[in-house]
Amino acid sequence: MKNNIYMLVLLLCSVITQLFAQGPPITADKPIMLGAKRMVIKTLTEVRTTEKGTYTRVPIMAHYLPTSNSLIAIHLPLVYANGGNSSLGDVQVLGKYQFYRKDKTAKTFRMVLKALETLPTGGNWDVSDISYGKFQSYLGVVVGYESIKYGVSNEIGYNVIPDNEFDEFRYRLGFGLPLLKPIYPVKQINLFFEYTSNWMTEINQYELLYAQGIQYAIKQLTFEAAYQWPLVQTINEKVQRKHSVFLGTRYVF
Amino acid sequence: MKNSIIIIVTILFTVFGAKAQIDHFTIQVDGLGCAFCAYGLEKKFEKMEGISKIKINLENGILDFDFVSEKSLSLIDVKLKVESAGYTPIKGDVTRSNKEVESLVYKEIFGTQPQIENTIFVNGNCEMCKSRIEKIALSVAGVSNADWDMTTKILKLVFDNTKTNLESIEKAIVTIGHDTANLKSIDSTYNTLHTCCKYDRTK
Repeated sequence: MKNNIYMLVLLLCSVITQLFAQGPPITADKPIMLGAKRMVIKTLTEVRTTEKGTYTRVPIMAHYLPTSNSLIAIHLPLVYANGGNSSLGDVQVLGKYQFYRKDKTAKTFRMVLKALETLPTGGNWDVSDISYGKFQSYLGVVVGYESIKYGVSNEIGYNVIPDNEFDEFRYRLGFGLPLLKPIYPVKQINLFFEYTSNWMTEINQYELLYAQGIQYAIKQLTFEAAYQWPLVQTINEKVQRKHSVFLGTRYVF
Repeated sequence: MKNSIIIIVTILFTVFGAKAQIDHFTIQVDGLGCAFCAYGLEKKFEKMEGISKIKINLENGILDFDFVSEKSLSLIDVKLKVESAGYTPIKGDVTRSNKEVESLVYKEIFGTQPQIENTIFVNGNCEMCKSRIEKIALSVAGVSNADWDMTTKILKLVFDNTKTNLESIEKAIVTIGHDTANLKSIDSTYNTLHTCCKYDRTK
């Protein structure tokens, strides 16, 4: 536990000393909207290894911006458990609304309200964000500052599962480090350092996850990969995470 | 036969030899904090017919592009396009094909300042009318931009609707001798206009 905290502090220090503009985070969220009437198709496969077994989630995500400050999306996941047959996971419907924006030359500060509704279309595997088979409602705020010199993205929110003790308070923090000078048209390699904190308030169980990611973006196409592992876990040992691997791609229309 | 060939060659030369008249726009845009942001902005402008050579500089937030003159793109139209892409236009410059330079400093419209865009018909004739009409419109408190088109006789306005309204702006315009869609200037004021400015009042 102590070693994990030291590692966390060391990583935060090394990251804060050199932060530059980056593309969209991988496991965290961002407050940047890409303009009215735009569409993004993306996928982010997660292969999660836990004490219970290995689960894979392959979502196809379609994001559409009807206006320059709003977004609606649908996520259709296929899920696999322990190398078994695939099935439809919990379908998600997402809405975002940018309610504050402050722009300066080559920098911007934005705040976005986020609502995510998870539908009980998947089986009850009791694995969060993979397949729960229950209605879930999430409300959060994403706050971010981005410039061509550095960028930070935060998300804070609460997820409610009715008639269930796994309601969760969530916090996500993401930093990006571009390895090339930001230019347009896009041609960029980014490193990402992302933290996810989940606190199940009713049963007082907590997990802090860290993801190390790399992203390659060229024009409208982005490829990304990340490796995530727990720094802190106080949840039941039988369901604890070991690690996750993420592989994703996105295309902007 | 020889004459036909000469005529055809002359016509072809006229058609293909004549170059399109081009206006060059330079717009300063705030909020471009990432390369993907610039992508969203470019895609918004790419759809416009007559546009070419779009360039975006992330470091200074400058958007440059060329636009066919005959389509008469105004700096207000560009401002609205940038805003619909989700960014903040700060300043716009255009060098027209006839070397005339127009500049406009845009005001921020988000936050608590409600800005309205609207148009009204204002009768007039010439460049002197244009200058006079725009000057009087801009003198009305709350009006941040006024652009009068000589051909269509439409005055495009951007104003703070908590400080003024279309009626007040029209009242100001008729005091200098130009009729609007809803108000008519008094004859004695109309008669003080320069000869070239005396538009047909029956229209």
